[in-house]
Amino acid sequence: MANYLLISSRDPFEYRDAEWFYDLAAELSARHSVKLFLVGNGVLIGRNRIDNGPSKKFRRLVGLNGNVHVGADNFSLRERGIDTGELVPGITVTGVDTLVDTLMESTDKVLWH
Amino acid sequence: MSDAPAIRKKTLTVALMDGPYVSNNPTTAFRIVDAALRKGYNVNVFAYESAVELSIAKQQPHQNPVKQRTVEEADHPTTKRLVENLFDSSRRNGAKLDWIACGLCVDERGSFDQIEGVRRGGPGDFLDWARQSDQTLVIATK
Amino acid sequence: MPEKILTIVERAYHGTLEEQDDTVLWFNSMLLAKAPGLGFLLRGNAVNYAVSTQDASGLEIGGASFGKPPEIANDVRFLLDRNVPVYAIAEDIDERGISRERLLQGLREIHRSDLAPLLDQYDAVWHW
Repeated sequence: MANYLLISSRDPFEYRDAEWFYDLAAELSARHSVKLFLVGNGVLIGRNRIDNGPSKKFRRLVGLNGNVHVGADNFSLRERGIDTGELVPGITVTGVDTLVDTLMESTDKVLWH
Repeated sequence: MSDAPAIRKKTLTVALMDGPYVSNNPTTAFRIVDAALRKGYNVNVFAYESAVELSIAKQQPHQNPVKQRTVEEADHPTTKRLVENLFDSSRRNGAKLDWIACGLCVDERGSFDQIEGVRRGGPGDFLDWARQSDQTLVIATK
Repeated sequence: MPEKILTIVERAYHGTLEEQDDTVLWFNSMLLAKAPGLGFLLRGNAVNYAVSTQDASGLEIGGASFGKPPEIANDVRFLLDRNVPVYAIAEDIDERGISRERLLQGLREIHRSDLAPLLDQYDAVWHW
C-alpha cells in the first residue's frame, strides 16, 4: 500500500474537471492511503451547503473508507471567509506546515491539480 | 568532537510554471517553500515558463491610488522580494535553497536581469534534482 | 530515485502559437535521452494533441508570418515512434467528439478507471 498526497487547488465551479481529482482519490483509496489537501480555490468545494453533482461526489469522498483523509488549508479558508463550522464534516483544517510534514515524511507519490 | 554521523537533510524539489499576478499558485508555492525551509529541508525550485518572471530584479512596488496609499503605505512586496526573503530564510535556517530559471524561458521573455541567487538552467537540471531529491512536487499550471 | 516517471499533460493550446510548441511536451521530450522510463498521459483537452490533422500554419500578424507553427501531432508522433508510452483517457476523447480515425496510431487508450492502477506502475507522477 502506498501513501498518495493529492493537492487540489481547483474548484469545480471554475474548472469542470476538478471533480476528476475526487474520483482519482476515491479510486486510489481502494488500495492505498490517500490524503487530499484542498488549497486556494480548491477549498470552495468544502462548504456543506453546496448541493450539486461535484459536491455530492466530494461529500462521498470525505465520508469514504478510512483510507481517505481530506484536509483544507486554514489560510485559504480564511481568505475566502469560510468558517470551519460551514465545512463538510470530516474535513481537517490544517496548514502548509502540516502539508510539508506530510509531503516530506509520509508521502510516496504526490500530485497537484 | 561528536562521532555521530551528520543527519542528511531531506530535499524537496518544486517545479512552478505560473508567473506573478495570474494565479494563486506562486503564493502557495512560496508558502510551501517557506515552510520547508523553516523546517530545515533543502529546497530546489525550478521556475519554468512564466515563473521565471517571479524573480526579475527590476520589479518595483507601486502606490495604490484607489486606496490612496503611497508606495510605503501600500507595503506591497513584489514577488522578487518574496524570493529574496526565501533566500534569507534559507540562510537563517541552515537550509539550502537552489533556484533555477529555465534559460530559454528567460530568453524569450527578456527576463535576463534576475535577482542574486537565481541561476540559469534547463530540463536536465530538473531531472537531476528530481532524481536526487526526497520528494518532487510539480505544481500544475491552470 | 524515480526512474519510471509519468508526465500528465492536461492543458492544451495555451501559448502554443507563441511558443511554437506545447511547453510541457517539449520539456519532457528533452528528458527522454536521460529518462528512458518516461511515459506520457494525455487527459482533458490535451487528448486533442493526438489528433493527426492539427494544422496551425499560415498565421500572419501585421503582414509578417508567425514563423514555424507548432506541429503538436508531430511532437506526439515523435514520442510514439520511439516507443515512449503515450496514454490517453478514452472518456475525454469521447466527450470531445474526437473520431478514432483522426487519432495517431499507437496511442494507448485507457479508461478513467484505469488511471489509478496506471499510477501504481510509476515511481513518480508529474502533473503539469
